[in-house]
Parts: sequence; structure tokens; C-alpha cells
Amino acid sequence: KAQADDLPLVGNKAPDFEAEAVFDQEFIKVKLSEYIGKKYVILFFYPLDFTFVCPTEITAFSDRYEEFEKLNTEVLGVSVDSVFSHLAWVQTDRKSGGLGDLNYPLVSDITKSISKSFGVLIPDQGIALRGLFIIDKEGVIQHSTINNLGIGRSVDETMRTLQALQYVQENPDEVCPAGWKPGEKSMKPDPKLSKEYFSAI
Amino acid sequence: KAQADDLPLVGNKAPDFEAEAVFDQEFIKVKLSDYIGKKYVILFFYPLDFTFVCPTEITAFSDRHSEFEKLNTEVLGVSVDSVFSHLAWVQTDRKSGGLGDLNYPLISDVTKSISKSFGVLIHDQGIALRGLFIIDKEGVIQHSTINNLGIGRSVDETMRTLQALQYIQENPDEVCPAGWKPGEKSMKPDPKLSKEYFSAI
Repeated sequence: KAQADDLPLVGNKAPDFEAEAVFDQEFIKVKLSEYIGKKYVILFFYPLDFTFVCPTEITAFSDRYEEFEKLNTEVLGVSVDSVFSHLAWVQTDRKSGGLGDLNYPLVSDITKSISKSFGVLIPDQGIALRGLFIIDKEGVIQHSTINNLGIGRSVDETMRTLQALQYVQENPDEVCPAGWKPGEKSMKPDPKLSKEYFSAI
Repeated sequence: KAQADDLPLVGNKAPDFEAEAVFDQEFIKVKLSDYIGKKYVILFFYPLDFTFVCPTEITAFSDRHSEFEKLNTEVLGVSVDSVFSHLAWVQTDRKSGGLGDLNYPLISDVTKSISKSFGVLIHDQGIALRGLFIIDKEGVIQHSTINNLGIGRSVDETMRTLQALQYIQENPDEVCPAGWKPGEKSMKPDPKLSKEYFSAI
């Protein structure tokens, strides 16, 4: 029986990790805490290289990388594959089911410790669920999405949530209604002022 | 330090619960396992009644309840408030920050055991994070989204994910690319056939 008795990850400091990754067809080291004080991080997990739903998620984040860059946000992909497998996959053409070059690093969680720390490891299969975490500049996890089966995640929705998060952090006296997008009215968490919002809708 | 060492919730049977709820301005009993074999369930948690970002999420799910009904899906809202608080909130006009009547039940998790079981309880505050879970007809959790701060969830994205899940379960030999919507091409998890998809995009 699955049960999460520990503190939830969301609202707490992200577990730190340091691991090898592939970026720009080279092997590099990535350490999560190095982004603290500097950047937001979109950290997403996918089950395995060279499988079928995964490329479209991974390539979608790469194709829109510059949008995340404008929001001072790094994107990191993680699977339990080796860096050699990651390299082979980015060197495979997209039309052959590969990734082509990516604009962000693919981290190798060969020890499965990162997947375990983020609660997405499926122990009896040894691979990760499709988990995605938005981590703020202080290193706190502010959002998680986890999918099973072959359900792809939406880059649009990730972008919307990231923008809502940044807006709320830059305007701490306001909160965002459901489905908020930039430019729309937000709400003030004050009994009298919130009636302005409700009366206006 | 937050860490989820147990099995992930996604991919596993949802923890069962039975609790009092408010529906159609009456007190009822809701038992999660009653839906097994019959319906999908969208189970969402919100921190507290009478707070400011929450109404827009809760009312959005109510306003679109008929869309979920067409997909054989029940919506259930949960907070740690009492049924008396829930009743007062649905009896408060929307323009006054209330909910108005809802098309689905609001469950009282006054013992906080449901929130704890689903890993969304913030212990030191005694309230739940904004968690949302999609549970299939066999009672297995297939998706989770958890937000911190005042970031609202998107009903559109919940609907998209639910439709992708149902499509995959009805067509188990296909998988959905990132951001898939009904009517779009899906992928076949076969090396040769998946090249059909890639060559076509």
C-alpha cells in the first residue's frame, strides 16, 4: 500500500544531488544547489532513453528553452540511464526516434538516488515515473506533477505554473486564481479587498 | 529534510477513506472505494474554507462538472474543515467570497488522515497543500499535481490529462506524446511503427 507519511516535498527544500550529465554533446557535472540564489529550476524525470513517449516531452522543453531562459529558469532532464546512453540518444536524429541536440542537460541518475529522493522511483522496475518539479531560487520545491502510463506532460502548463509562481513571489501580497495566466487579474488575500476581485468577475 | 522513501503514490492503489461530506446542501458519507469498477475520480485538496485563491479552483470544477460527468468521472474536494464550515461556505454567495452551490461533494478531513495518506498534509500548519489526484476505475492513482503558495491549478490541464489517461487505457497499445489532446495523433510503442509517427511530424 502506497502512503507518503513523510513531509511532503512541495513546500520544502529540494534534496540536493550532484551527478554527471550530457550537455552540448559533452559530459559535465551538475549540482542542484549551485542554482540556489541564482535560478529557478524545472527538474523533470522520464523513465528511460530510447522509449517512445519520452522524446516529445524532452524535445518540447528544448524547443522552448529560450522561453524558460527569459524567466531565469534552467531545465534539467533526468533518467536512470548512463551518460553514454544519453549521448547516443542526443546523437540520434529526431526522425529516427532520437532527440537531436538539446538546449539543456540530461542528468544520469545511474545510482537511482535522485529518483528515490524525489519520490518517483518505481522500485520493482528500477525506473522513474514521469515526475516534474518546479524549484524556486531558494531551492524550495513549489510544484510537482507526476504521471503514470504513457501520459505526456504539457510544457504550456509548466510554463503557466512557473509564471504564476514567479508572479506570486514578486507580489507576495497577492494570490493567483485557478488557471491564471500573465496579465490577468490576481486576488488580494484580504477580506475586503478580495471582494473587489469577486465583484469584478 | 523532505524525502519520500516509500512507494510513490502514482502507479499504486489510492489509499481508501470514508468521511462525511456536504453535497446539495446535505451531509452525506463518501467512501472512495465505492467508485472502484464504476468511475474515475478527480480528488483535489485545498488548504481551508473561506480563503482567497481557493474559491476559483473549486467553482471552476463545479462549473465544468458536466464535462467530467461525460467522461464518467466524479470530482471530490477535500479540506480539513468541518462539514459545518463546508455548508456555510456553499451557502455563501460567490460575490461575497463564497462558493454558491456545487455540483460535487466537499469532504471534511477533520482528522487530517486523508491529507496525510495522500502526502499533502503540512504538519506544522495542520492544513493540506493544493494536491490533485486522478484515480482510475480500478482505484489506481494515475496522476498527481501538487502546488504551493497561492498558485491555482488548471481545470483545462486536468481535463487534458484525464482524457489522455482514458485514451491510453482504452487503447493500451498506444502512448501519448507531450501535451496531447483528443483527436491528435498518438504514438505506437514499437520501434518500426513509432517511426511512422516521427516521420509524420
